Amino acid sequence: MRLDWLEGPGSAGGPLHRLDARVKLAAVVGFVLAVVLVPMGSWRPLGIAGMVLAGLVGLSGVAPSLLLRRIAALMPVVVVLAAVIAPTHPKASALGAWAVGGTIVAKNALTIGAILLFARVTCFRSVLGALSWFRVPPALVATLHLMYRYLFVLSDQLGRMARARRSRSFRRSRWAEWPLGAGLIAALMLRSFERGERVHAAMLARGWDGTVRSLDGPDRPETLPPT
Amino acid sequence: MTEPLPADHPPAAVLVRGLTYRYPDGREALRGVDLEIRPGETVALVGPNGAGKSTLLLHLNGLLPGRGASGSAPGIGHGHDLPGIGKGRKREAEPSVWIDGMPVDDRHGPEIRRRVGLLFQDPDDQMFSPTVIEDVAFGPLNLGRRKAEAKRIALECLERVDLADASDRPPHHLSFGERKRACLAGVLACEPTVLVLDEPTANLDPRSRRKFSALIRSLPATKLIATHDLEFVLEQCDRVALLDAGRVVADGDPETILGNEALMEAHGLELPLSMRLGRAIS
Amino acid sequence: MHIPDHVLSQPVLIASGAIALGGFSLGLKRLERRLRDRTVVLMGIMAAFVFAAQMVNFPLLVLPASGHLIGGVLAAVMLGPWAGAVVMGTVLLVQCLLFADGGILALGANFVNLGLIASVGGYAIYDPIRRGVGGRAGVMLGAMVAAWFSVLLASLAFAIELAGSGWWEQLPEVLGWMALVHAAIGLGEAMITGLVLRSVLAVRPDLIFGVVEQGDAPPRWGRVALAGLGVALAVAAFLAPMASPLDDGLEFVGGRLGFLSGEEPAMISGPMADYSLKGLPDIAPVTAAAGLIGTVTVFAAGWFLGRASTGIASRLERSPEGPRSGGEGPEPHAA
Repeated sequence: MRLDWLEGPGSAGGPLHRLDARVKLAAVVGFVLAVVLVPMGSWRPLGIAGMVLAGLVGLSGVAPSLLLRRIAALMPVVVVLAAVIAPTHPKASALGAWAVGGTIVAKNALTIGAILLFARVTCFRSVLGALSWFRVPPALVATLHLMYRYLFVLSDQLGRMARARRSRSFRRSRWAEWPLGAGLIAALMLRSFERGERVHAAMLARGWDGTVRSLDGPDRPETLPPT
Repeated sequence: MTEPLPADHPPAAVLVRGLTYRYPDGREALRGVDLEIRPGETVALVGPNGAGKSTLLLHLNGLLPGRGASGSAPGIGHGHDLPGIGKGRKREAEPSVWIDGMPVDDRHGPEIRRRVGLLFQDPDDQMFSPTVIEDVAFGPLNLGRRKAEAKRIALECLERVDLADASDRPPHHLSFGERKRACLAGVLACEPTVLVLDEPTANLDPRSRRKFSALIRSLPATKLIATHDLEFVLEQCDRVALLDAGRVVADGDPETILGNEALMEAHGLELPLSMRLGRAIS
Repeated sequence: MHIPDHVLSQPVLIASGAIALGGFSLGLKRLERRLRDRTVVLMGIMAAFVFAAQMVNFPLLVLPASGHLIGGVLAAVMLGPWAGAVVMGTVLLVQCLLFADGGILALGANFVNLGLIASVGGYAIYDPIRRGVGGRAGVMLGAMVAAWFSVLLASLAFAIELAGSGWWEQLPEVLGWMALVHAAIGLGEAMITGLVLRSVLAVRPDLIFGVVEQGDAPPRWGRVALAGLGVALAVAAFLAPMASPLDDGLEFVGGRLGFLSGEEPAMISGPMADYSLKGLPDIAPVTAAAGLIGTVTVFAAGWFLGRASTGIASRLERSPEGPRSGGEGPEPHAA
């Protein structure tokens, strides 16, 4: 899986890229909430929401085909769920199952599009900055930071191990893939643990005392180490 | 060991006396290591794989025994213990490592870690922050610097390792050599008086190796360098300690130790290439 | 099994969100005390690990699709129930915010199903079995049974959330179909969890949460009761369809089946799901049989793998440990 785009757009950012991540995070949650509150079968508000989203996509400079492809990849689940829910939905008798199902699909497409657009125009680090501004507990933000940092290291490691395994395995049985894959996961897990030990040692070596500190934001007295 | 401080003045930058350590599974990693490094000295630590080099290095800033006891005490409660670093933490009755005359124990832990800068072998273990500058500023922030000051220190240190323009990049966008230098910047930002380097030149291409080697040479701190790079040892170390099976088996000047073919062979090493060539010619 | 937005009704979203928030805060609170030790660091790296491990595909033996590990029980077995839940929550948050995989508003429901139920609930099943059986076999058996139940229970929770969103009347049938399909998916999860833990037990058994300090002390009754509750719930789910004969006809069945098997193309399905597709319209006996076969299979596989791993462990010299340098390449612990 390619993860490079998580880094944000680099220098080629549009106006949305430069917008404060806190604003964008609030906006995307607000957008999803607004879409949820649209009643079944009301197409006009959904159409307006769609036009707003399309306008934002145009403004952002993100290639629409990219978003559409990802939306399309996520839609089968939604379509199937909608097909199941629609016939028995309380509103189905009044509006018809097609309208209900269509609304569910349209709503999901809109919110998925909005989230994907948000992810494309906001680099993950600033998402985390926004989360901590919204008072998400520091332990969670620290966990997310570490997860993000080592996502790249571990997926590289996994790729290398998978190649090494494949180059040594000669059986082509589907059964054989199971212990092979599990072995891969086990090896990755052991290495992740050992990596965790070393990272922890490296953090202690540079004076870590359990308090998460960051260069962002103002100095806060409570994060200063006791003297 | 009763009285650690020898008569000489000032105290040794690093003093190790009778240091023993067992892995959690009971295997002995270190069995009575003695080592003394004077201020300003550059000492190489050589020895075969599994000799205990990395284990010894981790002891120098208290990351091994007694590490957990200063804060939470895993083992009590449901902290879950990993071997290697956390476990096998049999508290020695008395310390066996001193830095600048200060015993490495729980009480002196923070000060010891400020003085001893430890460069890990794998830069990915050491660069855990989302950007280079955040990573370099990690130490200063933990030492209580204000953010603006920490940032200034971090930029200065990045300047020293020639990475000032990479400050906002995420670590995984850096080459191996760049990451290695960024790690060194992170260590330098803590202003250590003793630098402990684990395999600083391993896995570097020749140009990066040369650059990194020159960088290390330019640092004034006392240095202890674990390495397999014997040319590097000849180039810039004042002394060599040969560690094998958890003991220092030889300690002396690089030419003598590395030139002793029998000794080197006996401990899984070989003569440095330059020496072999020199002998072949003469 | 990531629920999108706009599928659950607002009351269900709010209720599951509240439970999730409470559970997550409780988990974080329990971990706060351990902030200084490795746990926070390990959680970050384990979250990255779970994310990466979900990329490893396992081909289904009959269907032209593949599944992957979910990892809730594995994380709980390695890190403890609450750290495991927080790790799963972190993974879900990232998947939702970056990949739009699972809705933002459904994040609560997803965390309840895949975090709280899988990790905390799974651990409540795992722990008594581990202590009861003891040793490595106990770890293997407990984890595999817990992995199987965790998938089952998570799917049942999803069924209840769906039903709560509008169709209570159909709850028994939904439960039945969910249980049927996820009994098979759970087998895959149990197998992967077991195979992974077998490798871990062979090399670093000390890494498993709680094994070192707690040993094989007798289980606490609260946990036994919780485990019992989980088992009872699962059994109820299998028996539920028997109580309500199916009257909607084949069209309904087709819809349900399509929904169930289409819902997660990336998950593990198995031979039983395929078998039932071939035309046994009467769901009750099939579901019950699937449950029975599933339970027996998981126990048997757990027992077998557990025994085998004990043998391996005694043959295997413990690998030299200590702070290992980060060498790469083919990993040293062959599975």
